[in-house]
Amino acid sequence: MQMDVSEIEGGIRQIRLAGRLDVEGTQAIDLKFTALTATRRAAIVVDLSQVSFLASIGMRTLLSSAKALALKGGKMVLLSPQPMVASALSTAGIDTLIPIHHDLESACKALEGVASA
Amino acid sequence: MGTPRDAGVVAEPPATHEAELAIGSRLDELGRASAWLDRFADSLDLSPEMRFRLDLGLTEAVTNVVAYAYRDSAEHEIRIRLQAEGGAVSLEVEDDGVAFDPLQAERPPVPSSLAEAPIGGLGIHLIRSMLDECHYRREAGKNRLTMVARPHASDAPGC
Repeated sequence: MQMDVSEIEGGIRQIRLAGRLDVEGTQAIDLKFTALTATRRAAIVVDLSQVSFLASIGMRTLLSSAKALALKGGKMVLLSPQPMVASALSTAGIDTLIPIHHDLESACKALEGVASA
Repeated sequence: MGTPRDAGVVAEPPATHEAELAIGSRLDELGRASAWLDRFADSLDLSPEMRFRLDLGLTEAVTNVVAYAYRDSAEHEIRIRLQAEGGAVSLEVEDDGVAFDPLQAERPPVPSSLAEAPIGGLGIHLIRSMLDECHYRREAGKNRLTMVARPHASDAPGC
């Protein structure tokens, strides 16, 4: 499981995940992911395009971070999940809680005004 | 009835493949189990979609067993069986933990906001929604959860 982080336009933080968000993969990134998304009022794009598998434990990590962010006035969006990952997210109802976007531009637009200056 | 069959054309029997794996009742055994499932899927040339659904069923079922089935801290054995027939694949997870039928669990309500969303409880819901058939039986002191994935499932598989 790989994770890299970059700061993009407008104070938005982009986290790119690659690999399998199964038990092992989620445990490998969970602490760092939670720390990266716990920043006050952060605007976060989580790029899922390179994630080939997603189990409930991975959804838990996404959901608990998104919840914590929302409490602080921040926001998370998901970017470009592969079809089966998208299907699992919508089965779990997560797509209605953490918005899914299929291009970076619309993801950033959804985060406008969220990022702290 | 139908047209007579050409002499010499013999119907192929449906290919049947079976495999069985025993793992310890620990989450860190899941990597090995998924890799084993992947080799089975390779041998049948299963689609990425079938692989994903079977892997999800395996991961969620074993995760539930490890989390809830045992009253002691000893290591138990979980047996996983795969059987392919006529394009469908059935996946069975057997454990010797306390009797528990996950299919009787209530479906979680769909949360309407992040603030209300419970963290967790998604595993069984995913199994029931992403696999085409699920069956549970308690037999000889063991729980057996059988999940079936079929190719080209409708847009809304579920059991």
